[in-house]
Amino acid sequence: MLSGMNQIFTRRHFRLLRLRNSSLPLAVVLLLALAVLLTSLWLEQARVGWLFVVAGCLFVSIALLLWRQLPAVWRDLTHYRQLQQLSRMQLMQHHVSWRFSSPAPELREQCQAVLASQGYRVHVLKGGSQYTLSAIKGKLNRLGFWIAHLSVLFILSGALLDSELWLDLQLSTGKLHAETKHIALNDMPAQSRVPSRSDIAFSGSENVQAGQIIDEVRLVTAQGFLSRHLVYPVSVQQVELDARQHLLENNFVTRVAILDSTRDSPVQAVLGVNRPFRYRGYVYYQQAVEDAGSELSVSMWPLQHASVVPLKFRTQLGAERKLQTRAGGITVHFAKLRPRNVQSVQVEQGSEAVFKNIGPSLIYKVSEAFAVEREFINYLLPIKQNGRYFYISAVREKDNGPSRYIHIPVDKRASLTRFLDLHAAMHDGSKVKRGINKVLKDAAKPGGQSDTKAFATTLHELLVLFREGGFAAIDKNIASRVSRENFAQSQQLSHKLIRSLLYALYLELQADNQLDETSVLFFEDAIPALSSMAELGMPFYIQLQDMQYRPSVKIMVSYRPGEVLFFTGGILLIISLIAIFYSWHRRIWLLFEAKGNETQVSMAGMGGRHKQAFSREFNKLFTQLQKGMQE
Amino acid sequence: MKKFNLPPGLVHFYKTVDSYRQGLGLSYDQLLWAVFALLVSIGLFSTAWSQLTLFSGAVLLVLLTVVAYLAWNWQALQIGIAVVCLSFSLLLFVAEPASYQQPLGMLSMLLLSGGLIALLMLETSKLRINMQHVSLVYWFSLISCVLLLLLRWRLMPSVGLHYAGLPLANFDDSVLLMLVAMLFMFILFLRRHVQGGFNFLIAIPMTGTGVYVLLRIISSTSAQPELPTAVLEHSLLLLHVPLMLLGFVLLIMVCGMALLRLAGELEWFRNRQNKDVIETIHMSLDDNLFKQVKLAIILLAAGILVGMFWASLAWGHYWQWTFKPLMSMALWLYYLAGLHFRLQKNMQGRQFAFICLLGLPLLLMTLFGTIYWPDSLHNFDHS
Repeated sequence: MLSGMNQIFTRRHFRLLRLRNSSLPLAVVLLLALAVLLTSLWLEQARVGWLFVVAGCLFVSIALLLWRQLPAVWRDLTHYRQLQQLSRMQLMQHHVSWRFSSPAPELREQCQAVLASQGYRVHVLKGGSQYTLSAIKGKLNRLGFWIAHLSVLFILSGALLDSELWLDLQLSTGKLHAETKHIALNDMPAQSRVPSRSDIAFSGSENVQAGQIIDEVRLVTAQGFLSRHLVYPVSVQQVELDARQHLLENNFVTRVAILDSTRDSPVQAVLGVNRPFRYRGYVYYQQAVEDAGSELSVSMWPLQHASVVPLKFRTQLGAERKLQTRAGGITVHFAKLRPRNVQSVQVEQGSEAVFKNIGPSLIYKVSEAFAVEREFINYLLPIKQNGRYFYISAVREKDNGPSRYIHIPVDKRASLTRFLDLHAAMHDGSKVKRGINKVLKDAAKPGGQSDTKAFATTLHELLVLFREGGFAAIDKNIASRVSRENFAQSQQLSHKLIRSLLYALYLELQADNQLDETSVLFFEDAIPALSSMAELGMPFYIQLQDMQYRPSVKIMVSYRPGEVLFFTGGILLIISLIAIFYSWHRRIWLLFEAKGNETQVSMAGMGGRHKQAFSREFNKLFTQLQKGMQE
Repeated sequence: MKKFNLPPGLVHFYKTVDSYRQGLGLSYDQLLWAVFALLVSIGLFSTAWSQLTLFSGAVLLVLLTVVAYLAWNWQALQIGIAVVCLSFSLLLFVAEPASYQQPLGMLSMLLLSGGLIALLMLETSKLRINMQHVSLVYWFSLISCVLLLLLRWRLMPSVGLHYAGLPLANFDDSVLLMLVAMLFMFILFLRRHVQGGFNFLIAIPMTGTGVYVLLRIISSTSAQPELPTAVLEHSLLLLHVPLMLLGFVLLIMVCGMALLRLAGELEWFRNRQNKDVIETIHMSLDDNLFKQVKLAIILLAAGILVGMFWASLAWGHYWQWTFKPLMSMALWLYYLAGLHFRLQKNMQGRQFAFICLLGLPLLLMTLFGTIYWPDSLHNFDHS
């Protein structure tokens, strides 16, 4: 049967499968198999086992190649392969002979000088009346070939040491048992704890707050969780915003102390983004910073009635608060606190937009019965835009559609009081009545009483519409009542009337009924904000009065014993690839034989695969040597 | 031993395949190797197919059809080159699926198509393009693309944190950098030998794409300036991104030149050119294919290694099982295997060109794959 197989494999059609004669086809097949496996691994990581098998085969194949090639490479590097017979030189593709009248030693010296000037290492052998001169150039190529393959072994070994193969084996043989529930590390059963003194690679993490110590980390595997006791526990001292990178949003640093029992004092370190800390082979990372329930002190202004007294309460991030409004029950979920927000802001009108930290923001979600959950973002500090300050609030339907921004102007005391007073005035019956009367008085013209009453009714209806849905509600109402031709005119008139009424209400809020330029600008900014708030149906406005920020940091600890091997291999690979690709190994032999009164000089050479380049170099050398010997 | 006869149908199939093999000048192991690589490509595309958009799917189908058509019918040279070139340009548009719906994107695409059709008409009507004009077009393209890159630099918002001020923030920037790098590479490798229409063919779509990308950047920058990501603010990325992009650029060029090298075998082409000229072009292409694959392998190896080192700082491990690292490594291994063949078997000419061209699907997947299969580590590529 074996002979039959051999017969099949010796057929020309199947020569690719005859792997025994050379490791090259095998290496190519393995490289391609690795490439195919890698392209499929992002779909299903279960095939990682196959990757190890193929990489293992590649390792063996390269190791055998190195072992087999070592003598040849060593010979190429150290031996000059003296050729002392003319017949052997004549068999070479590149060979040539001259005759000179000068004695052999003189010619030899001249040739030696020419070859040395071209970068060749020359060795001379004297045998009777003849001299043999052997020269080598491009040793780096041969050395590079050997080192390149050796570096692949380094890389594969490093990757193997850093892989989770050992853990997988322990899990598959039942020596370790992964815990499927996300329980506290202290409660981990003994069979889910990885021995801490073993020198195997691991990477685990744990969430902690400032002031806490981590002496164990959680390892996540495909089967579940494992815990690993730390040889050097870490004490988290402080989590703070990175002051060095003030334009990078929420970029934190964590001050930690590594506790080593062999030292008198702990080792202080700062962890951050791209800033791990390495201590005795263990690397500590700040993987993520999250909120661990910051305390919030909140003022909530209801926007559905005339009250200007806010509801004040203390809560925690992540907590929910249920409220009763006229429209029914509302649940407010305080979802997220961002201590820093970097946004593009145009500070002055006409100026270039620049990135600026606009301070903290509170994100809360509002769920109402029979309504889509909405997400609100309130920026807690007033932001200067076009020369004026605004409190900015954004609203969007959860995970759907863009945010809609509301710019609420601040009053002279940089507070929301004046705006909220104006908003409350819209809901105050007596103030509205006085406002309508003022508008009527200002617009008074000789006419009947019935006209005035109808005008007052229209103004009130317009205000109700505005309170319920802003300018959009007024426009919708007009569209349903008038023809398309008259829409623009009616819209303009209605907007003018509602602005007049709001102006009257605003004027009443002023102590002296006088408006300066700043107050007029405030009013102009308040109108779109009032309209947007009504259009979005904001039930209340929340302002954060005070907060106690409590971040929790996810500290990751990893141990990679193969990392140095891996990167050393990588660097060696690149250097050796350059050596292989950009230097080439060639040899030149010169034989000097006395023939009567003359000396016959024979020259031969070989340049490996670089036949064309070597032909050019051989011809050049031939010319130079001939010139040198004739001189 | 009893003689075993194959079924007549199988014999007929074998003879048919063998005649094609002889026609292509491939030996049996080369044919096996080619079939293997083709199966890899088909496997990749079949997994990709369900997630590709109709448009990009159609473009890739055209690309594959053209390559297959070229393999069996040598008469399709010009159409093949034009369509592949157009497909490359279109793929850049596909990188942003919404781009071709915009009037600007549509206009640029029409211009590109128009340029290629004009070129086809010129070639088929046997009009010869003036070499000096071609050279001018090429230099114009190079200067335009460098200016576009500088303009992009100036258009960045004043924050100046994008990789220490260098415009390498997103996919648009990558495309611009790749265009400039590609044009420079052509000068570096092909300054003496590239002839006529090849320059023209490269210069027009590349400049068109560059202009389009810049216009898109201008419109998006003025609307919403980009904020740098903290994890990307590392000096190692100044090495990782350009090294990888240069490696990809070289491999794109390798695929293009491999296609030209294979197309040069056509009788149709040979009948229309001087034999010496063809031989010179072939020698130049063979030489440059080898040189570029070697350089690409070194650049990609260095780029991957630097990326791994950065990943070990940023994420705690130098290797992640995500799309882009896996594809980049697969691409590197594929061309490394090809280079082993080239070095050890002294494989030259059309065989090596064929191997280089078969790496194209893998290259496209590596470059554009994260659009369809988001990779948590490389999503900013296409942001």
